[in-house]
Amino acid sequence: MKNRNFYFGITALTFSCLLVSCGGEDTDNNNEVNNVVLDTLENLESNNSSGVHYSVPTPNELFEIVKLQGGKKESGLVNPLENRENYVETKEKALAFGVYSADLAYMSCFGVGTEFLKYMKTIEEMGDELGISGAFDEDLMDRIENNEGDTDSLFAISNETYYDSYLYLEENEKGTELSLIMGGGYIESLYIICNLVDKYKEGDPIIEKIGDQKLVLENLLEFVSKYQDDQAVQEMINDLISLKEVFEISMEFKESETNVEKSNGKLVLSGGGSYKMTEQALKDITAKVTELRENIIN
Amino acid sequence: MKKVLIFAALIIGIVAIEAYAQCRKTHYFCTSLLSEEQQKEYWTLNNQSKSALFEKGKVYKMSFIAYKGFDYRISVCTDVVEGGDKVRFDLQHDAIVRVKDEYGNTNIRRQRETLYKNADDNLSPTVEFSVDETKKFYIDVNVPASGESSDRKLKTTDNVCVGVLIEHKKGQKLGF
Repeated sequence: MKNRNFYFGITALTFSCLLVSCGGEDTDNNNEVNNVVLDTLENLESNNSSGVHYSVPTPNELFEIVKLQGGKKESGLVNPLENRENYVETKEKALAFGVYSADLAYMSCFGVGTEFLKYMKTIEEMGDELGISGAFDEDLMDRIENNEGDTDSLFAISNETYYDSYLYLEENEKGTELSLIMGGGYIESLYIICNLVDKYKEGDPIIEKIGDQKLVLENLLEFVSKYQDDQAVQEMINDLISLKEVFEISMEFKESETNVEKSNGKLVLSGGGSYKMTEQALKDITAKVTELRENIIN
Repeated sequence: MKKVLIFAALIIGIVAIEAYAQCRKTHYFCTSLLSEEQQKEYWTLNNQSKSALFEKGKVYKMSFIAYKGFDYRISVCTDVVEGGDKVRFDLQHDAIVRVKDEYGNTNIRRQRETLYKNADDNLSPTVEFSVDETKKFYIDVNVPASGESSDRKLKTTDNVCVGVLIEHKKGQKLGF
């Protein structure tokens, strides 16, 4: 509870700083903001007590949209397999498992490298060590070998494996491992997309996707907070909160009215306020996520 | 007596786990509620989809992220046998708005807004949408108070399986 208070306190505080620094974006400058009531303990506690399930997009979904929006592959971004020897403690292994899972999603989506099978084998072995080998299909490796070189099939397999692992861990009450894996996967995915960008350009869809990870991080934090009694998860939450602060301080808030339109049987939803990326935000987020990733992989 | 209680607790535990596992992919069956035309459309299963064992008459809540650039289709279903009540669901988001208090001070608050109610759309089991920017959504599913689960293990209980199927596909406006 103490930690949650800290988390929400930080959120409100950083949002106050954000509003002070982003006056230029306000649509109504005559209205001086006196108070910020966002992510209050009351709001989030009531959400939790009513049992909201927070879903988090998988690395596959992120890489899929990044590729569709023009993301180009870069080599040298994934965590080298040689680093595996660094992971001894359960926490280190679970975080690294998440990192390698995100690497697999990236490699299969962008067709990077020829080491998909080696990465998959490493993940399977680490899963064994973590006691979660039941998450993998018996014929998984055969399916990968049969589809080697077929990017679409490997992407589908990596997506399916991530989802089945998630279900297995949730059903078998391995929430601690699941939290660490999701945290590692999130950090690695964000690190990779930050490094797909050469320089800041306003309106660049890949840079927008980096900013969008703030919302993903919010849901991730809500999800893993269920397991915050575990010390390893708590440490990871503290790291993620420090990253959330960077998002909130460096991004600009833009207010806009919610609008719902219907076009050809489909709703078009817009407005409602959002955060916008800036050149400084890109630098700060890239620096922070690189630091957190270094701590995980080395 | 103690042994009997432990045994009973074990059995209840196993049944609960089995029932939970039984529900795990309820969302896969939500497409059966769609029209033939809708079923033929190509959509990708989104891994934020969720199935859960839930008590009749209660509200199941979940949150998910929708990326700008994708179109989304949300379908909601239960495993209640035919003839049961239809599911009601709402799609919501948190708008961040300025609110003036009684002293005239301007405060910034997160305010939950309902964007779509299937009750206003002939209780349609599905809704399609796109977003102008990546957004966090909430879905409230009102689990019908009546009707029996089609799962024989749940028939005599107050629980049914609830599925929220999220699908996505490439939107029309992508890239630079």
